[in-house]
Amino acid sequence: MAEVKLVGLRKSFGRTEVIHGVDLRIEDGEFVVFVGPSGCGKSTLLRLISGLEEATAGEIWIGGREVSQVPPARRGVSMVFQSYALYPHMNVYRNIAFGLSLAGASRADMEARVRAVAEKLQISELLERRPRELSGGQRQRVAIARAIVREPQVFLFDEPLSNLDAGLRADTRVEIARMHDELQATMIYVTHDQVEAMTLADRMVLLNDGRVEQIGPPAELYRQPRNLFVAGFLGSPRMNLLEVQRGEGGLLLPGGGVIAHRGEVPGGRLTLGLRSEDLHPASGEGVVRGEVTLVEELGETRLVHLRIGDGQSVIFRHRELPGPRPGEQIALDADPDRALLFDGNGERL
Amino acid sequence: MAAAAHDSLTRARVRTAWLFLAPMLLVLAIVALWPLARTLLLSLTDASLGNAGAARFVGFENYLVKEDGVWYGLLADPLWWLALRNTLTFAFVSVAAEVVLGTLIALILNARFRFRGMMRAAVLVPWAIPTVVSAKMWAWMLHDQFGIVNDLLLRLGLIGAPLAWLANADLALWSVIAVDVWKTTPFVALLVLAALQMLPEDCYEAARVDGIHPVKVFFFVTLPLIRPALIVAVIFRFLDAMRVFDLVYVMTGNADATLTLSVHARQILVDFQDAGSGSAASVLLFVVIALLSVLCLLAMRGEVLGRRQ
Repeated sequence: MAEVKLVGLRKSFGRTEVIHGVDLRIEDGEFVVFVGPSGCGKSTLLRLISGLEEATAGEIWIGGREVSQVPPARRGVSMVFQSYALYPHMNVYRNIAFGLSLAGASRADMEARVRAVAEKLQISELLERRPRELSGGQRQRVAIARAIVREPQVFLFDEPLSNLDAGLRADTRVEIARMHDELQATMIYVTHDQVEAMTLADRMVLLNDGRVEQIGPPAELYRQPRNLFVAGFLGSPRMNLLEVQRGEGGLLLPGGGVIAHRGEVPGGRLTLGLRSEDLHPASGEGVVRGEVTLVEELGETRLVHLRIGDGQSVIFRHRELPGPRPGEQIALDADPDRALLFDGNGERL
Repeated sequence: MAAAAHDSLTRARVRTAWLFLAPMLLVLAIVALWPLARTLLLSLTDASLGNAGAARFVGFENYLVKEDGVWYGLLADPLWWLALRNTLTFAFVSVAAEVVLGTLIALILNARFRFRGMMRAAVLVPWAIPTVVSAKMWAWMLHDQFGIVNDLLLRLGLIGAPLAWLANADLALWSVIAVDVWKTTPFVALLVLAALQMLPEDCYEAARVDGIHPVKVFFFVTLPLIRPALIVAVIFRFLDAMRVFDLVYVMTGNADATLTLSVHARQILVDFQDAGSGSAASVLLFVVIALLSVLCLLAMRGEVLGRRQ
């Protein structure tokens, strides 16, 4: 087990720089998730750590050793690929054992290790099968078994669940979390799925366009996003972002509502962020008023789309039955403590 | 009701299938079945090239017959057996060399380097040249007095005196094989390259992270995965090499040292004007190739066809 440290890491493909200097310290045994929109560089960053890509500048430390010039095999990492990367012509046993044979392990020792790992991942009955005879979930387990059997210092996961259907994805997510508890290994996990990121991560690293936007525990990124990008990326439905103005006794919302705000408010453009679950029907005038345009039924709750002044709209999560109907006029209250305010540069105040 | 409707639909589809197949079957019958049948018939007669009409039925005399305690016919002719041996040697050696070299070249062309597109095109040049042209070209280059090959080898001091590459009975077959390898390796390389490009890249990345030596990766990952393509290449090339004619005929004519079954058949049929015996030689060549094809298909069954499913 080891800590991982990235110092001023940069990567260019030709003249295009895709990673613009990343500094990051991952503690020993930590589960860190790289998340971000497609093309943000999260997979490239993982491949830099694995050694499959060579860094253009900067340092990579794994377990107290600078490894940016060390070939992948000697970095002490195992990788689980999105496509599983199983050898199609080898059976499960050989797939797991193939990477081991190098380590100079004796045949008996090797077999014992493969069987132990297979036991742990409940694939003992599949050892004789070829990958094409396995379901997606089983292939995923084999890929993970192959990573575990090498007893690496650091596990790298590159979108390992994105080829699984929704139900299996949720199950496997839980299993990966359990595996992390059990192995206490450092794990770095790349995903574009924020649910995966939020549920698995000790800390999330939110990347955008080759830069780190924010690092922190999931709840922190969700509740205290540093800027508009983080605020908008996390949460479904997206956070309501409304242009507001300084006014008497607080912030003036489109449609005439006023919300209290503590602290200094600068001039210039201001954006107010309100999550759908922090809005609720008002008993009085409320802070947001508008006409219901759409109701999305989710079963337990429903998402209500509201058109408010200035052509802006908000979405709020409605919990009680019956839900409102399109065309209705509704007033909503918002919790001022939950509201987030962003300045003209998109930074949170 | 439903079953009847289903049946008539199936029948209609079968009819359509035959309709689409009919033109090809007709063409095949005209260009393949008819000549084959005619050759087979001719091989049972004593027809000569000039008077095929006045031919007399002689049974299997052209193949094998015993008269006055002596065996006659092609199968008793040492020359036919020599041609068979030459042809098999040619086929085995040239195909083996082509597959090994073709795979090596394909591996190189599959790597990322500058001018790769140009290299891929350049490699194909020998294959694109008409066989007769390349055969003539090599015959000149291998010429014992004026050829560039002897000239180069002499200058380099690798040989003491010019070698008669095509006239020397010990060298001729190997020279012809070398030219065939030069000419046909690109075809194999192209087939293998196509297979290499289908390989899952992530497997190679996994192997890199796991620290598996590239040579081991080649033998345990690449080779098994391109096996179907290699088998196709071997079958194609082997059956093709078994009926080699133009290269040999242009380079060494009817010389015994390089006599192949095709060249032998032509010699009897055209030079000796013996249509009956020449047809018999053609039929024998057909039988040999058909036999080898069946053997190949049996050996490879499941490998190529089964694995794809």
